[in-house]
Amino acid sequence: MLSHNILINTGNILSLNEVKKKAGQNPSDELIETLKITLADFEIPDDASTKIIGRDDASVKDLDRKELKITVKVFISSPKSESLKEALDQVLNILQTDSIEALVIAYSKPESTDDILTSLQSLWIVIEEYIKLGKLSSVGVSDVDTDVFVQLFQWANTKPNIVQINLATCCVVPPALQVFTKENDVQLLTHSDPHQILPKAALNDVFGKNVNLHWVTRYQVHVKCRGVLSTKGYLVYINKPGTQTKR
Amino acid sequence: MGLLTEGSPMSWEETKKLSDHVRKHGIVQFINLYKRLRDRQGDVLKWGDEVEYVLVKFNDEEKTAKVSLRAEEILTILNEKEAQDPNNVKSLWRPEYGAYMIEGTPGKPYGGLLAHFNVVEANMQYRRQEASMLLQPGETLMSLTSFPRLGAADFTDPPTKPTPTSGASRSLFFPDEAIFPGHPRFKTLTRNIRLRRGEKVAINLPIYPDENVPRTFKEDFTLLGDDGTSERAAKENHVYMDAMGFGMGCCCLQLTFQACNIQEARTLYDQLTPLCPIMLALTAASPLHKGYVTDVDCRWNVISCSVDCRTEEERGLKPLKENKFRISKSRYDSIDSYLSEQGDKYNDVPLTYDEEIYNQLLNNGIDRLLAQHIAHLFIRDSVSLFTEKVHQNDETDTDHFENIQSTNWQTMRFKPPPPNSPIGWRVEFRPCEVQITDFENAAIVCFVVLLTRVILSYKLNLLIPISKVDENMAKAQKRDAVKKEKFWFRRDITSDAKQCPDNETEYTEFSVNEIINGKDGDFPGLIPLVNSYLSSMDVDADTHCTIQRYLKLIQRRASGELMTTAAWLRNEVLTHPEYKQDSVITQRINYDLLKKVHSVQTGELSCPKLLGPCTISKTTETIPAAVAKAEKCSTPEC
Repeated sequence: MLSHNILINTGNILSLNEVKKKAGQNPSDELIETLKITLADFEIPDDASTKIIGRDDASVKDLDRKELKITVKVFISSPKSESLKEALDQVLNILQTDSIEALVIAYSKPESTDDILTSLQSLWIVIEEYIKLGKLSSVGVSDVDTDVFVQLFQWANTKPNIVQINLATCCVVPPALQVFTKENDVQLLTHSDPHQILPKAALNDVFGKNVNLHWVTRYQVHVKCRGVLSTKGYLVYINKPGTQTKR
Repeated sequence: MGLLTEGSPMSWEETKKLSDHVRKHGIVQFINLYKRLRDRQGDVLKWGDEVEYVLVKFNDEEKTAKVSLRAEEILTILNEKEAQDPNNVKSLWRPEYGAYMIEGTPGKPYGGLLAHFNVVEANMQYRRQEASMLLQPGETLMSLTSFPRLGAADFTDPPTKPTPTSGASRSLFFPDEAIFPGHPRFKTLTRNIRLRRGEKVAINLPIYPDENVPRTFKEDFTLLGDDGTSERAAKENHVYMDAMGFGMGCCCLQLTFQACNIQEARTLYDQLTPLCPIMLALTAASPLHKGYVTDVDCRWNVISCSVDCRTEEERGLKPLKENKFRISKSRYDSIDSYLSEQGDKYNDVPLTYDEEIYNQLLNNGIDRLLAQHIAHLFIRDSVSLFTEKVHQNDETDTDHFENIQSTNWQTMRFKPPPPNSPIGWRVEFRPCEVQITDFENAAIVCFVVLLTRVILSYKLNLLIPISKVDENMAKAQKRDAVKKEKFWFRRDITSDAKQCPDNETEYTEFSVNEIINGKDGDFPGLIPLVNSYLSSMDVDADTHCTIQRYLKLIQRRASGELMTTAAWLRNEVLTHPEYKQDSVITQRINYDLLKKVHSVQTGELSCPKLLGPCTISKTTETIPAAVAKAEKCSTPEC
């Protein structure tokens, strides 16, 4: 059975009234909703690797780039450097830009702490490479234990300067993390993303059975110093088994 | 409360003669500044709040609380720091109408980072402390919209007496000594408004109809020295007030923000207009006036009537003879027209203006919407003119323009950049009543600024016909409006106006709760939209926590789970042991109430009915160093 990879780009979801009307839903529901809207306009092709593009272009090429701040979050569950490279190259390509101001990695896999550190380190090598190439500036990770973050920080050549924590309802920040970030000029930022941005059930619901998720990338374009969000969208990269057809 | 030009005030007769002179040059000055600045682009978000305070003097032996007339003394000291080092002060202090009032603003505007929301409250606290250090024993600084016994017998410290037959106000209740003496503007305005109108101003607020209020309630003014004027002006079953001080002597909470260009300023001016009545209802804080409990919750109409300088002809009581126009509103009222193209079709209130001025603006390249707005502001006469400022250079000065602009006290103000300054086009949001604590005031300020960002990011459209906004303004002031009233609001704020050709179906009635918190399947709600926006922004942990607590307060106030300040104040009076169900606020009730207000402000007394379970935020004086570094801006500006 042949399988193939499909990349779905939702485009700028800020222009989707359906999404605005359901304001306040969590990022996972928002993603599922926008995927359904995007896919409604397309047949998922069966045969070859392909791309599906949403209604509204997300490119920043016609905007004054120096007034913008692009932040990207990659939700990934594979420590393979190829996967992360793919995610980064795709988002740069789709936004039609050479660089990203802030990148956060949300790595989720049920592993022991040691394994998570090893995985993050292998991803971090890609990040350091992209920083050298001038493609990234601020970089960090999401939802890691304080110890893991400290070890990653100490190990890294280019230090993470963002750490994201989920503070959906409460205001409790691990004290050790608070102290460490303050002492080391790390931005302690918040997010409201669930542990799995696109859980298996939702994946099947949207794309059909036996689909595998490589990664999800969210991009947000802000107008600097004005507090205005100009673009927001998702890239979803999946692997879909081919349907068996008898000839 | 507007332009403060130093100098020698002219008499009303002289000022009146120069009305056309001020208008003529004011318009030319606007045309010149418009030509210079219309294409100004690329300004970042900067914004600031203004909080007004009352100085209250407690006498613990006599159990009285009065307004302390020491604002000038205190301001003189507060202003010394600014005079010595204007660029590095953390606060700025300005006089206000009352001799017992001061106004504080942050030393520098806040910037466009979300982290700036976390410094607002700390700065408010700093301001309160800074001014409080100059107080005498027994004095307290309070952010109180209306002093409950303002204009009732013996309400000032030191004691003063009204002068019904002389002075600026000629009030039976409000002495001229209670008007800020340190600047001639305030008394001049008071006198000129009275003289222009041809009689004292008249404010009538319905009295709260408690069981022991006489069925026909009417005060007797003969002992106060009334010559019959007040007797005629006072309505039955109303609390009557007769001076500018009753309105301009109230405190409020205002905010101003800079737009990136003139188009964005017009958009924000328009989009925030439908929110004015909603925010007024939500921040309602003034049910108590002149020693009585009234049946309204807000100050708005009090101020509106307190500076209503229209003559009988202009108000439509006599045929037009001396005056040029019938004018439907006081110079302090809600705005009459939208400014953006999107707003054009919702301008359904006929605008009064001078055709000649309007055409002059059009002929100078100003578009119809802006021209009619300016021409409408310029139907007013100058009510304060200084000898030194009569003759100006219209190429560079803007005093005559500002003279008229700054005495049009409306819900929103559209502000052109000042001459020769780095400041851009700005919009001022003016409806909110001030709350007791810094926590609440910071919550309101942050919520409104967040809304502007949400409106711009999601390109929301909140517009409804301007006549419906006016209807909402009336509803917003009613007792318990948050719980009881339904307000006109746009049905679908995410839709582009062009898609709905039929005006009738574009708006419907929602409660404040539905507007703020959403209505299942019908309306997303402003707070959920703010939360969606926040989840797409980089927010540091402390700021996130602070903002969430602020939003919770707004949500709970809107849902009725918490009382509005007005409802709480009213309830405190009605449940006071000395209260006799007669809607009268005695010295003792006033004393106990304000003592309690003070303990709530300091946090000594927790007040979950008003503030909810959580009144402490993570506010700090500066934004986090790591955020400042990443955003490449120097703290605390950006």
